[in-house]
Amino acid sequence: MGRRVYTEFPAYIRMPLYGFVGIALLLLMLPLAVALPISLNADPWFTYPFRALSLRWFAELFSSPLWTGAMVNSLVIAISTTVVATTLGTLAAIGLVNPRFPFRTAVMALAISPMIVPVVVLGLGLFIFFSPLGLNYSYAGVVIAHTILASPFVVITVTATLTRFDFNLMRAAAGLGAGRLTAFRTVMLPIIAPGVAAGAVFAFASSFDEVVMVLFIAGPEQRTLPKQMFTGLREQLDPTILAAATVMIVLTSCLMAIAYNVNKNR
Amino acid sequence: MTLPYGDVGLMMTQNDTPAAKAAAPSVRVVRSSIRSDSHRRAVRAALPAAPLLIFLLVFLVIPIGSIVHTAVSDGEIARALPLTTQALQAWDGDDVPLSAVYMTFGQELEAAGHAGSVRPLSRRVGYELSRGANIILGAQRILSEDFDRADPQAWKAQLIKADPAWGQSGVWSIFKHYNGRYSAFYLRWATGFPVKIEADGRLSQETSYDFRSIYLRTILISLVVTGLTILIGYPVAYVIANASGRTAAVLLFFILLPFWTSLLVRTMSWIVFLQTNGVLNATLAGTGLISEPLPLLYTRLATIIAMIQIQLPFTVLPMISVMRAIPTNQVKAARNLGAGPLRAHATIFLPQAVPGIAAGGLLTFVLCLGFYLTPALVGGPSDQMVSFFIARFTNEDLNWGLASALSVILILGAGLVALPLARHVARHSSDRI
Repeated sequence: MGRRVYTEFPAYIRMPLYGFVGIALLLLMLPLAVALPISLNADPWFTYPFRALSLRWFAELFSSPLWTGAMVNSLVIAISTTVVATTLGTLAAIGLVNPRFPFRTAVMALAISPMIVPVVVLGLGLFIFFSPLGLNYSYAGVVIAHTILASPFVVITVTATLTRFDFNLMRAAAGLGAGRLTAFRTVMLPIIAPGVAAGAVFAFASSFDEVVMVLFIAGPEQRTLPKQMFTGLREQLDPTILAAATVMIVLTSCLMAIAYNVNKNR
Repeated sequence: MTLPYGDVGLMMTQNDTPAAKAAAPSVRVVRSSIRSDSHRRAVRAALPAAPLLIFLLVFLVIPIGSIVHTAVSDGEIARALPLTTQALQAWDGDDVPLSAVYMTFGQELEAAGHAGSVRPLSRRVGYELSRGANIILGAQRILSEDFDRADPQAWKAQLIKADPAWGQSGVWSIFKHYNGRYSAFYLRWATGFPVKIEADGRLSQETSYDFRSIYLRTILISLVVTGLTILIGYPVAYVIANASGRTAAVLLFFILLPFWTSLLVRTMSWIVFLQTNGVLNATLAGTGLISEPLPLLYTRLATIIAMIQIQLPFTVLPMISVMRAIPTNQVKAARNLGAGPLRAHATIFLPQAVPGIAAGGLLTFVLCLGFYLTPALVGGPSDQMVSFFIARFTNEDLNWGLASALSVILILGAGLVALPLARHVARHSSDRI
C-alpha cells in the first residue's frame, strides 16, 4: 500500500480529482452520519435540530420484549452460524490451498457462489427443500441458511492467510514425529489463528445482518433484530429502529476493529 | 509443498520409448501404482474440504435443483383427475367432450374432495382460467346434490348448472393439455407469454404481471447503477490506489465502513434521509429553497442512489487491486515522450485498468440483478425488480411454481454474465477483507 505518489497529473487536474473523490466518499457516509444520531433525539421526529437529547429510544429498545427477544435470537443464531461456518470454511480452505486438490477452480467457485447467487433465490430454494424436512420455521433451518451465506467469507479469509503459510513447517513437524492432527493443532492452527478469527468475525457479522433468508424460512419464533427492523421500516418508522441500528453498527464496528487488529498484529 | 510432479510425468513419457517396451509389465505396475498413489493423494488433499462440499451439495445445489424441478412440475391436474385427462385425449378440442367424460370428471372430482386435492387443483386451474378456482369449487359443491348418478347426461346437466363454463371448451382444454407431471406452463408464464384464457378457450384480455417489462426494468436499473458506480468509482479507486500508506488506509476505511455496515441499516438511513418529513426535505425547506416537501422516497431516483451507495465498494475494490499492479514508470515514460497528462492516462493507464473495471462492473451488475431489500424499502411499486416478485409469489401468493420459474430465469441470466467472471471474483473478493 502506498508505494508511490503520483505526480503526473498537474494541480489543475489533481485538485478537482481530489475534490470529487472527497465528495464521493462523504456521500457514502452521509446518510449514516445523518440518520443514526437521530436515535438520540428526545422527540419522535426525524429532523434536526433536536429540542433535547435523550436515551429514551435505547431504553425502549432494551425494555421491549419484542426487541430484546429479537436481539437474543440474533445472537444465538449468529453465534451458532459462526461456529459451523468457521469450522467448515477453515477445513475447506486447508483443502483448497493444496495444489493436488482435484477440480480446485470449480470447487472454489462453488464455495464462493453463495456470494453471487441472489439471496432471494437461495431463500426460495431452501424454503422448498426444507418444507418436507420440517426445517422451515426452525432455528436449525435459519442457522443452515446463514451458514451458506457466511461460509464464503471464512473460505476467502482463511485461504488468503494460508497462501502465506509455510507448509515446510508441517513437514518439519511430521519429520519430528507429529501426527497430522497434532501438527495441525500445534503448528498450523496457532499460525493461521488470526485469519480464522477474522473469518469468524465476518461470518458473525454476515449472519447478524441478514434478513432475506429470515423472511423466507424463519417463523415468529426466530424473529431476529434485522427482521424486526424490516417489519418496522415497512409499517411504522419509529426512532427505536434507529436505536437498534445504532446498536448493530456499534457491535459490528467493534468486531471489525478486533478482526482488523488481530490480522495486522500477526 | 509441491512435489516435483512434472518430473514424474517426464519419466513416464521417457519410459514409453520402444526400448522400454520390453520392460512394459513392470512399467505398467509402476505407473498404476503411481496413479493410484496420486489418486490417494488427491483424495487426501480433498478430504478437509469434504464437510463444506457435502454441506453445499445438500443445502445449496439440491435446493437450487429443487427450484428447477418446481419450475417445471405441473402435476396437480393429472394427479387429481387421471382418468379424465386420459379420456380427454380422444376429444378433438372443438365444442365440448362427450357426456361420459362429464361423468368421469364428476366422479373423480368427488374422490378428489375426499383426498383433499381439490384446493391445489382449483388454484392451478385458476392460474390459467379466469375465475377458474370458482368454477372448480362451484362444481364440487353442486355434485353433492341429488341427481341420477347413473346417467352421464345428468352429470353434464348438473355441472353446467353449477357454472356455464362447463358447457364451454376452455376448462376442458386445460384438462386435456396438462395430462403429465411436468410442463412448461410456469416457464411460459414467467417469460411473459400470455397464459390466461377465458371459459370459451380464447386468450384472456385480463392483464396480469408484465414480466417482460419487469426483466427490462431489472436490467435497466442494474445497468444504470453499474454505469454510475464505475464513473464514480474509477477516480476514487485511482486516488486510493496511488495514495501513500496512511492516506490510502484512511480513504479505504471510508469505503470499508459503509461496506461492512448492515445493508438494512444503510437502506434505513436513506429512508430517514429522504422521506417527506425527513432530514433533506427539512433542510431544504429550512433554507427556503422549497415550500412543499419533495417526494424523494419511493421513487426510482431513491432506489438508484441507495443502490449506488451500497454497490460502490464492490466496484471500487477490484479496481484498486488491479490499479496497484500497474507499473508507474510506463506512464512516466509516456509523459517524457511528450504525451499530455490526460493522454498518457487514457492510453497507458486506463487500458491496463480495464480488467479491474470489468471485474468490478460485472460483479456489481450481477449483484444488482438480484437486489431485493433496497428496492423493496425505498422504491415505489414501479421500481420493483425480479427478486421482489420471487419473494412475493413465495410468501404471499404461495405460487411456488411461478416463483421458481422466475428464479430459474434470474439465475440463468445472472449466470450467463457471471460464469466467465467467477475466477476474477475469486481473486479480487479477498481484497475487501
